[in-house]
Amino acid sequence: MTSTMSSALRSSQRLLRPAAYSWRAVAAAAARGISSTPHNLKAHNFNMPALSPTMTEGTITSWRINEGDKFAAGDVILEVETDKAQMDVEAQDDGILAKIFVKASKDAVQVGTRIGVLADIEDDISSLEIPPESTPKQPQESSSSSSPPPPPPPKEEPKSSSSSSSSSSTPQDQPQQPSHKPRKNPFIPTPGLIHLLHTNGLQMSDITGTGPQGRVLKGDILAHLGQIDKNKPKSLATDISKLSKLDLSKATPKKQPPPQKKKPEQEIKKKQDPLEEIEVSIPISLSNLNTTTVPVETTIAQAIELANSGLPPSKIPATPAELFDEILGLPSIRREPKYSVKTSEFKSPALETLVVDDLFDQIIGISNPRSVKQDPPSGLKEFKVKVPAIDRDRAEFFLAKVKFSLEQGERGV
Amino acid sequence: MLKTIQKQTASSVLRPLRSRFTSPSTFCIADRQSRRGYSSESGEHDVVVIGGGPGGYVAAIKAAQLGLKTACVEKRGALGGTCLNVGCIPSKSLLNNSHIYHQIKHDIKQRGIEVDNVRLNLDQMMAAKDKSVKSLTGGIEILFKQNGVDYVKGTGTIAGENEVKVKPIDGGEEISLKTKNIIIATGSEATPFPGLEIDEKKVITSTGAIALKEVPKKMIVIGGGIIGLEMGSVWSRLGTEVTVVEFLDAIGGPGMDSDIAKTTQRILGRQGIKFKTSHKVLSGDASGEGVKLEIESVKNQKKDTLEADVVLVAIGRRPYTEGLGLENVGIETDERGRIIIDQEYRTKHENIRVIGDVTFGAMLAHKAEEEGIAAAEFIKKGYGHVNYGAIPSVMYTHPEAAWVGQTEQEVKASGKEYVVGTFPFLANSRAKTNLETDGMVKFIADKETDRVLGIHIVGPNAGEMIAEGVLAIEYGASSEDIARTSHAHPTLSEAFKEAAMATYDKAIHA
Repeated sequence: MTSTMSSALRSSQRLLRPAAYSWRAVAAAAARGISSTPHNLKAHNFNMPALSPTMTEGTITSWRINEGDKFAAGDVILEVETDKAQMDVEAQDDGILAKIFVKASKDAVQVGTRIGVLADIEDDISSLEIPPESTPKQPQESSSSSSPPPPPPPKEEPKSSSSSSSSSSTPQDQPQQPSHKPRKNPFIPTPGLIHLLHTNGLQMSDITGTGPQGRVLKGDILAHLGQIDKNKPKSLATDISKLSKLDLSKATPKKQPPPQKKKPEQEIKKKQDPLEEIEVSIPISLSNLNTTTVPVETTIAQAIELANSGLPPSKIPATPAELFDEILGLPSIRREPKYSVKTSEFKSPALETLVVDDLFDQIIGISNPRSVKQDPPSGLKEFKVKVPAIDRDRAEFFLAKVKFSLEQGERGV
Repeated sequence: MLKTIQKQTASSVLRPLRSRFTSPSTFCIADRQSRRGYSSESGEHDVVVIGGGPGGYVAAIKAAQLGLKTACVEKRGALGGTCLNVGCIPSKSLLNNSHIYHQIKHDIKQRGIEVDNVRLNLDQMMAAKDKSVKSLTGGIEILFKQNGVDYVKGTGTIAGENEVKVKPIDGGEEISLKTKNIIIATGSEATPFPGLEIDEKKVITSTGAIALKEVPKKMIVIGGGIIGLEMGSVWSRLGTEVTVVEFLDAIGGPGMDSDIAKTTQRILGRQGIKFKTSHKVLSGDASGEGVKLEIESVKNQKKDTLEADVVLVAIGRRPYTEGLGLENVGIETDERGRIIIDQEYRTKHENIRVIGDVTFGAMLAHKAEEEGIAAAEFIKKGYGHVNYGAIPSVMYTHPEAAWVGQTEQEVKASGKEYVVGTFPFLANSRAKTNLETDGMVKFIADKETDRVLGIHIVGPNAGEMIAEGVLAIEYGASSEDIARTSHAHPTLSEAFKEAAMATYDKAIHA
């Protein structure tokens, strides 16, 4: 049947597309074979899951849903405490918690012991037949199952408990045996996995999934095969699950410093008159200067001369004559302003630097630059220049150059 | 009551009902009945939702479906919030209809259709928009009735941990609602530009941009994000000369992948929209007949003056908490005005939760909806879930841009090794037959595991196509998973598949 179906699929694909797709038809048919999950099961025992490979018993600290409640894949059904940690047991599939056998208590429950009964989502719980308890810890396979006995699952899913219930073969279970293959992972392989599984002779039950709700992903198979770093899928899953949470890293309450608001406002006003003269100043330490051979004044004058060369062009609007020359393509005769400096003793008790936290916030005006105070070093002189407001940056650059050559640069150039 | 059922209702009850409402006859009556369903005699509510936008109304309906006695307070006079009344929905009406107009005028001749005398009737276009809006907002009122949500029309103020005071919009006496839980869903408003006063006529936000009385000659859009580009597109198609001024060096805002941003800018540029990226607006002057803006290049400080009839301020949105009474219960906001919450949307008061634009996360209607459902579930069942890593974004320009997951910039910054696979619509048969070949699909996958980290599309119908990408990310798919899934031929979705093939292997048709 499979072969006729696949050839039919293949031929229909051929009508549409070149033969490149024929492999897909085979793969699709194969997928059906693997995924024939029995949905006619009435109810399955829900046994104490092994939440880690070494776990032998656990304590039910609480059931998160009540008897009769429906749940969806991903819902936390109960909390289990092991000797190592407290863990949530999530549903891997939709269903109903038909019955609870072991209530939350302080007593430890052996892995594999029936703790409840799960039903399919459409089941009518009132008329549901509760299956008999399966004997825990009996990895005996039914003879009709061709797959190798699986190792103890790292994380048993509600559905997979059907495997252990089927191993206690009651007569009416018999006809369903083949579809009751023990499966560690209840997910059908995704299209990308089928190819990898087949070409490497693997089964889904061999693989531990790191995907959402424990799904097996391509990376898990590659890691299983040793083609990529074994820990890679897990670490990627951890990264991705971080992104799945709401980012509250910046959820810090607004500080309220009302008097601070005025300062930046004034600055904005100043900027609105770009040619108004402002004073730009910077404290410079002269303690490093060699004062024995050259007078301090000379060193400063040289530093200023040096700093005045190679400054960015001034933003003071060009005069009409200069613009005209520019249009004519004449070499610029514009003379960039040179700065002269006034020095005085540095008085300010502390330096205030404006720090902008978030550019966007500042642009839209909901956050103001905040000032950070720094203690002033000793032995400082204040260097000042007067410039039009528009050239503030240029003057600051100039002063920074002066500072550099006086504090660190080669002196007496 | 149960999560499985919720999921079904969210998709099967809400959505189909909404779409059913597109036939206007269904609910003309509902609009007239201003419902005073709140029952003061029976006392306390389980949940009072403040705000009837996509977050608030969904939370209210969900809470009611979970068996909680629920009221929803809304002061607009219509449900649906910004999204339905002055945002997503009306702008989509204008985008769709202006596109048809533009296509008839400039595009269909090459397709062998000739139409003379094509004229724009802006009033009718606006009327069509209003009709869509009205039918949808009315539809929510019906949903409220069906689910037993008390709809309180008025301004809600939190008076105490368990009390919301409502000032009715029709001027009646103040009502006090006692409640066990409060969900704040008051949304956001357009951030104004400092120095430019919004009058919604000359200096407009998105609200004014969907209601202009005539087609302006020139429009400047401040902000090249989604809202700016959508509204810029509408008026550009109707004949306005549109210039977009953007501070960053790329359009689309920080969430858009840089390749997609570049491609989109090129396509929109060809459609006639002018871009001034890396420019900041220094000042604006709306005192004259038009509006003058002084702009400056961020790169070389070169200044320029732009003039236009209308300036659209679209620099972002900010949380809206005016009159909400947060101070009455000591709830704090952050620097940007976002209400501070924990992962379960709780404020410092466990019974007051906050969802949507007024708190953290992307300001998207569908994000708020997910949170609305989760918040109601947290209240009823102690567990709710939203996967913030799989929330799509769509820009409804033509072509559309849509994405989900991480951008290439983000993946690069995280230090992961990754692969990129792209496929251009130019090589897609359906796009070619439609004569709409602009755009591409771009995949970003983890280099080793092939797990898809981000999908970015610009192209025809990208907004619909991204749903497949969201599903892929939600399920942790590899690009090979998608590449080995059959996509119908000839469809645009084949480009999606081929981009996936290009990511883990090679595309067939490129």
